[in-house]
Amino acid sequence: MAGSETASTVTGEMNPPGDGEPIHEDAETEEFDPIGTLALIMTYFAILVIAWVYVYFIEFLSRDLTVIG
Amino acid sequence: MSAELEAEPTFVDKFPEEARIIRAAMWGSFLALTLGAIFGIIQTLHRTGLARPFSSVDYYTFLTAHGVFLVISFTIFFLVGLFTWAVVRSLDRPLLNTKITWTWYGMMAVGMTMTGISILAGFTSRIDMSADVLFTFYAPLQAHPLFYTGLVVFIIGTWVAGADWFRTWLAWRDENPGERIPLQTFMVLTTMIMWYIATLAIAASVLLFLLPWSLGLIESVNPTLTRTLFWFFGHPVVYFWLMPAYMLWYTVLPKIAGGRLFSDPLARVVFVLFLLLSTPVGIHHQYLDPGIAEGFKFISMTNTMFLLLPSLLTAFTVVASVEYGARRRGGTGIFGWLRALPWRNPAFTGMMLAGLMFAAGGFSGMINAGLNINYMIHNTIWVPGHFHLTVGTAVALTFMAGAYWLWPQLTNRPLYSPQIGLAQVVLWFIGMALMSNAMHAQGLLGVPRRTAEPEYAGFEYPMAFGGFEELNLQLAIGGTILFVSTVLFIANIVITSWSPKASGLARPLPPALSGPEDAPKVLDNLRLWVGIALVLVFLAYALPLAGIISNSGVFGTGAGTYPVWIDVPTAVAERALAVVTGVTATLVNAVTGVFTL
Ligand code: HEM
Ligand SMILES: [Cu+2]
Repeated sequence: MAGSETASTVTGEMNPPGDGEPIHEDAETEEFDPIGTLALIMTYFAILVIAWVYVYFIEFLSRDLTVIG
Repeated sequence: MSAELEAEPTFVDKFPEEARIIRAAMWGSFLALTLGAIFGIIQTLHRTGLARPFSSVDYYTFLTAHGVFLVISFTIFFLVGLFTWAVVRSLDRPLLNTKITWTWYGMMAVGMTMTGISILAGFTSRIDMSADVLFTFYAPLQAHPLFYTGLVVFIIGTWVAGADWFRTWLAWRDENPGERIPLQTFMVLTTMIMWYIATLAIAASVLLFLLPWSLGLIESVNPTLTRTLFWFFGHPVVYFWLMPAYMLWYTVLPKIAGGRLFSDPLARVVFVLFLLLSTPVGIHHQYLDPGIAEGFKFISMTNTMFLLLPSLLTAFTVVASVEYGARRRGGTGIFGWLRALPWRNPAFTGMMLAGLMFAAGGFSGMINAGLNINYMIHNTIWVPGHFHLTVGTAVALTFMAGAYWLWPQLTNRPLYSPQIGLAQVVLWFIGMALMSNAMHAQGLLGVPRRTAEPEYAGFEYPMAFGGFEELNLQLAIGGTILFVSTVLFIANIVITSWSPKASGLARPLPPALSGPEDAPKVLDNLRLWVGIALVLVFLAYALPLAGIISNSGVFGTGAGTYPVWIDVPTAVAERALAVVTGVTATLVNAVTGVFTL
């Protein structure tokens, strides 16, 4: 038995994907390897690393020590 | 007409009564959004000094109304509407008894009206009532009893709503023995379990302390205790706002992109992780509170960092599902596939921009979460800068985009203008980029939040990334664009509701690429997750609460300051440890008992 997203989702198959916009059906059968996703996530991490380096230089090296209390 | 007969039935065709309740909940939400946006623009112009038509004393009434209407009313009314839709749609069965459904809707509406009146009464001195306690409403700020009573009625309404969905699911389970919980229902149930745990603390805080105190039944309260109970609730509530947005990203966004969800099991894992981890982190909002030992703050920070994991899993799963859609539409290349996506569709673009903003919110969130660097931005306007990216955009913009997709299926009326919708979501993105950027930058200069006149005579903020005045201008321009965007959204929805009906508006959702049959069965064992969640909450909160109470008593010391809690911990820890081990053993027994059920 395929899972339990029963009737309502099975019928979804008959509807054109993408809310009616054209698609390439043949691509569906291919193995899907999310390399584009990997690329975007690596970009995110790159920004993160640059931001941390930036914080280190701007907030800590260029200023006097902040003392609380 | 034959075309009409052939067309797939929409949600409202199949479940007209449920659709009516969902629409009622969403109207409540949109009303709150309208009011919130009006207060938002007033606040923006006031604190930047561009226009101050009202007294600065009233600023706190505006600020409370803005916060409460947006993060309690707008978000939660949308949530209950969306969750009702999700349960009924994914179980493909009506609710058990819509009288109960109308009852909880009525409780929430009446409760929020009471709370709203108590806040708005603060604008006139003719009524002896006010509640300028800000949306965090902890002591020593005190509101009129009507404020707390309304909140209690509202929250009990949400509890009944959760029970309504659980009962509907149980009925479905009897009709479909042995089947996996459908994904959307699974998301609703795990989110509601988290909500039950979280709201226990706020119910205790209001009923035991704040309400009796405001009625004059008790003399004083322990402010640290009510703060801690608030944040016990206050962190999971941010996931309560976020989970409906995640549900839309996981189940609706891939469909609009022309693909389907990449992995159903991963989605389940993410919701379970949020259920387990979202409560034992609340102390990260109290890094600067005296009265809580540093060690507990450190534990809370560690838990918080673990909490990044489910959001990173979400980024992966959702983006991969969208990429799958792009490839099916013929997209190619490492980044080129992005061009193949339906960017003209306001529902798609709105959710994608919301997700992008959420990623940016992740950067400032990591700063907030760090025990040491939090000191740099605590109580500055950086913090509103952060949460206007998360709840104010990731959640709010996703809800608006989701409404563009869902509203036609709830009304059988096509969206009045997808073009205006597209302009609206892009405007929100631009407005928020400006406002939030200016808030973050001012925060680094030390500009305080919750301040009507943040400019001080004889004091200059340091210069960086532009000066104070320049950033004020940016903040005000951003806030104005956001206000315009809200007006466009509301107008589009209102005009849609007057448009003629049409057929063919159904948008069924495809099943996941890797379906629930690939998910380990244990994921659906809700009792197990409840047990573990309670143990984690206990471990995170037992000692800090014991410390707070032993330090200043259940009802506080009456007046004065609260000393830093440095050398008491050892004494308390020893006493509490005995209790902890005893209770933990009982709990562990309970959990293993549940395991074998
Ligand atoms: C029309 C768009 C909006 C504008 C112009 C706006 C503006 C502002 C400003 C300027 C503040 C800071 C006030 C201060 O600290 O002195 C603020 C606070 C806040 N905003 Fe917004 N905002 C908007 C939308 C939203 C949305 C959509 C949400 C949530 C769903 C939200 C939630 C909050 C909260 C919780 C606070 C903090 C209140 C407090 O400190 O007690 N805002 N807003
Ligand atoms: Cu938090």
